[in-house]
Order: sequence, then C-alpha cells, then structure tokens
Amino acid sequence: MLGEVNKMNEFSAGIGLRTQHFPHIENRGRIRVDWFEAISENFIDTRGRPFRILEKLRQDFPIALHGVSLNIASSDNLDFQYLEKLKSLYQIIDPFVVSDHMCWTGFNAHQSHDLLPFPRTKEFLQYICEKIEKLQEFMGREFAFENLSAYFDFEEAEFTEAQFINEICERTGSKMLLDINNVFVNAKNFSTDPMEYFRQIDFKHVVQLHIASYSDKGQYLYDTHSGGIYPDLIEIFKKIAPNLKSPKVLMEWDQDIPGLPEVENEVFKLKSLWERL
Amino acid sequence: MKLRQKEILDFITGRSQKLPEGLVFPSKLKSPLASLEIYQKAYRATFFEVLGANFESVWKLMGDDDFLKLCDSFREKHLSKSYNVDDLGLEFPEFIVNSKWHQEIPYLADLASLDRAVFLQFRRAQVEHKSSKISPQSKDLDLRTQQNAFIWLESGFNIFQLWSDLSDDKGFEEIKSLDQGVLVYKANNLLKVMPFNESEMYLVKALLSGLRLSEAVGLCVEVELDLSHLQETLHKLQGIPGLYLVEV
Ligand SMILES: [Fe+2]
Repeated sequence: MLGEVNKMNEFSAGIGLRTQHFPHIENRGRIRVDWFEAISENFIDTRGRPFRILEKLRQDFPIALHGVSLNIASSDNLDFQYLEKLKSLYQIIDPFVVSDHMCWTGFNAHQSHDLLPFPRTKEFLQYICEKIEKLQEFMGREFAFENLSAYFDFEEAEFTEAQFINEICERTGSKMLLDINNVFVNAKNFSTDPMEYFRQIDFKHVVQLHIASYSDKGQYLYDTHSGGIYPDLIEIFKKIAPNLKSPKVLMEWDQDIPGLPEVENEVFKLKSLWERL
Repeated sequence: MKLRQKEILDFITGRSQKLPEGLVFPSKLKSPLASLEIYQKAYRATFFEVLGANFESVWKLMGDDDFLKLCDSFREKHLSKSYNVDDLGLEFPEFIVNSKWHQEIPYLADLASLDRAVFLQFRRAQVEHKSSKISPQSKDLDLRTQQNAFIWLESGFNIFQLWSDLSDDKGFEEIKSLDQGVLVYKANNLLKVMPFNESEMYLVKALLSGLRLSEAVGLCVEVELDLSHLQETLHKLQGIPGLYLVEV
C-alpha cells in the first residue's frame, strides 16, 4: 500500500486521468507527476479496459477519486445504490482523497448532468450537514467538497460560498477541494474580488487543489478546462501559496486534451513556482 | 427548496418555460434567462457528446446536422434518470425504431444496436476482454462469443447501399458482387465491415449458434459448401473483438 502522497511541505503534482492518456499509460510512457485523479463514475460500472488501466496505475501511483454525481445539495435523499458501488471502488483503489462537489445535480431522480448552485442559507446548511454526516458514516471515511463555478446564485443566500464550506467542514469533519479556477471565474462573473474568497477560506480544511483554464465568452467567463493555466491564476497561486502546506495540486484538462506530458507541464509550472518561493 | 429545484431543473431541461424567480446573475449577462441558457446549452451538448461518443457509427452515417436533430428529439422525450451520463443512450436504438429517421434509413436502429453492444462490451465490460487467438491447426477448438460485440446486419434493406457513395473504393465492387453476409463490428474505435461469401457466412453463423468448429465444418460439408479456404476464413475472424477460439 502506498503511504503518504508527499513529504511534509512538498508540492505534489497530479493530473486528471482521461481516456486520451490510456495509450501513453499502456505503452509505459514516462510519467512525471506524483499522483492521478480519476472520475469515480467512469469506473464504477465497468470492469473492462478503463478499470484495468486504473488498477494497473494504482500499483505505481496514489489515486484520488473525484465524483460528479453525489448530489449532496439536492432535496433528494442520498442514493445508496450509487454509494454502494462507490464503496466497492474505494475498497479496490484505496484512494488517498475522495471528493465531489458542493452542489446538486438532479432532483426527483432526474439528472441535469451539471453542477448546480443552491441557496446558502442557515436552513440549507443544517440540511446538508445532516446529509454529509449520514454519507460519511455510511462510507466510513471523510469526503472533500469542491467549490463550484456557477452562472447564477440566489437572492436569499446568507453565506458566501467560502463561509458556507468552512462551516460545513467545521461541523462535519469533511474537507475542502479548492478549485482556484472556479473561484476566479465566479469572482470575475459576479464582479467580486477573488482574493476576498481566499481570505475567507480556512486553509486547514483544504486537502487538494484544482487548477484549470476557462474560456472568455465575452459576457462571461466559462469554466471549460480547455487549455493551459492563465497568468491570472498563476498570480493567485503565488499569493495563496504561503497558506498552503504540502499542496496536492491537480491540473484539470477536459476539452481538446493534449498528450499526457503537456498536461504535466502545466502543473509543473506551479511546482517550480512553489520551489522558488 | 424542492419546488425551487424542480423549477430550475425543468427550465434547464426544457420541460418548462417558466423562469425561476429570485436568482442573481452575472451583471454582464443582463438577465437570469441568459444565465440559465448557459445550462440549457450544456444540457443539450451533453446529449450530443454522450450519444456521439457511444453511437459513433450512427453519427458518422447521419452527419453532424441530422445527428444533432436526432439527439434533440431524443432529449425532448427522454429524462435522464441515471447518475452515469453514459446511460443516456441505453434506450437510443429503441427510440430510433420509432422515429422518422427509421423510415428514411431502415438499418439505422440496427447500427445503433451494434454501437450499444460495443459500448456494453467494452466500456461497460464486467469481465476482462480476451483477444482472439485463432489457430486453425489445433483440432479441439471451440468458438466462444462474449455478449454481442458484433451483429449480423440482416435488414431487408440492401446493406451495400451504405457504401454507394464510396464506389471508387477498391473493395466496393468486390463487396457488391458478393451474395450476402456482412459482419459489422468495432475494433480500436473503427467500425469494420467484413463481407463473407455464402460458405463462410454459413460457417460463421453455425459457430455463432453454439456449434463447435468441427461440428460447424461438418454441417458445411453436409450441404456441400466450398470450404477450400477454411484457414483463410478463420484468419479473417481473427481480431474480431468478443469472438475467440478456446481450446477444449
Ligand atoms: Fe475542479
């Protein structure tokens, strides 16, 4: 079993495992990152080639499992059938972090296949905390929740997202997956200061980071994960770096995905920055 | 909150035109409608992407515009109930049978079934897939099949019209001159079509029906089929995913 992902106060670099990278992995191409993140839903219903590759990869690398269908902020109850499958995947892969998003994806068993925001009220905070407690008890481990990129919000919100996630972590013992790109995109779209978000976050809850890129659609920024890291985000990373201890940073690239070495290069930009700081 | 979530979801998925109230939106977007349209577009794109990835042959055959129309009409009638986005297409072939496109292209649903079979075989495989190793020299061999990774196209429609626009293709004349028998399958993300002559088709069908190699050959001999190229035929079968010979 692989132990600690990285030593104290070292930067550890990860990339998202995508099918485009399978040939590189199968052909034993050189891999420079320290770990991979895999999307849980791509592996829970198959024991075919993708699963075999993940299992093989696990022999050499730590794996984080990241979900998109937990639907924690939905008015629906937890889907225990789905959780059972997740649980057996966790037993095989033994991920060092398991995460999903602080959002809802469907209601009344009907899926949007998108990550949707909800009103961050006291009432909802209580509701989600109870659900997370049930979840963590059933799964026998803590979850990390990722902040969202969202294109609408609710008038009745009583907390900022940072405050809301802090509160959830305090109450339930869950953790945060901090997506820098999502913070930036939301701040630009809703005309707020991205640094204010980072001032509000309690970094002790952050167990993993995401970095990615967005697309400028003119009227708004869209979280597309379609390219390398923009300088704005590198600047932000520089500013928040003093708050990070042993950061586990993952480069997300989901559209126009290049070869594995090119994705690695992006996260290494932050790594070399970290080492110089 | 239940009502709120229902309203938002219905709006995004196009089931309701009633714009949810009390939303805050990016100032440059000017209206909540513009915000929700981002999600509407993404929902539409999800159907196109997932169906395109899992029904690649149907997409290639129809072309972008018609395939998008087909996806749109499927989306309008289909609620996604699964946490797994890939499940979106599980009812796609049946949907096609009852659509206007089926009237225009009678083998479209067959092709969609093939795509679905390939999806189930590869992306949803519950066991490790074994590649075919055929050695016609071995005597005690048995042909085994794994699920339906391939199908015979047996629609009344003349399948060769599929390639009518490829008439400059060298293989076309040869295929056209054959009696019948086309095995369609997917390998390494390519749709492959393998024509068989009458004897070969008879043999392969016998094998697929569960007969052992010796029994199938015996049957062909009985009906006086020409099996002088048996070794070649077996060689042709090599590499078809889900079809492999095992020693018994
Ligand atoms: Fe992310």
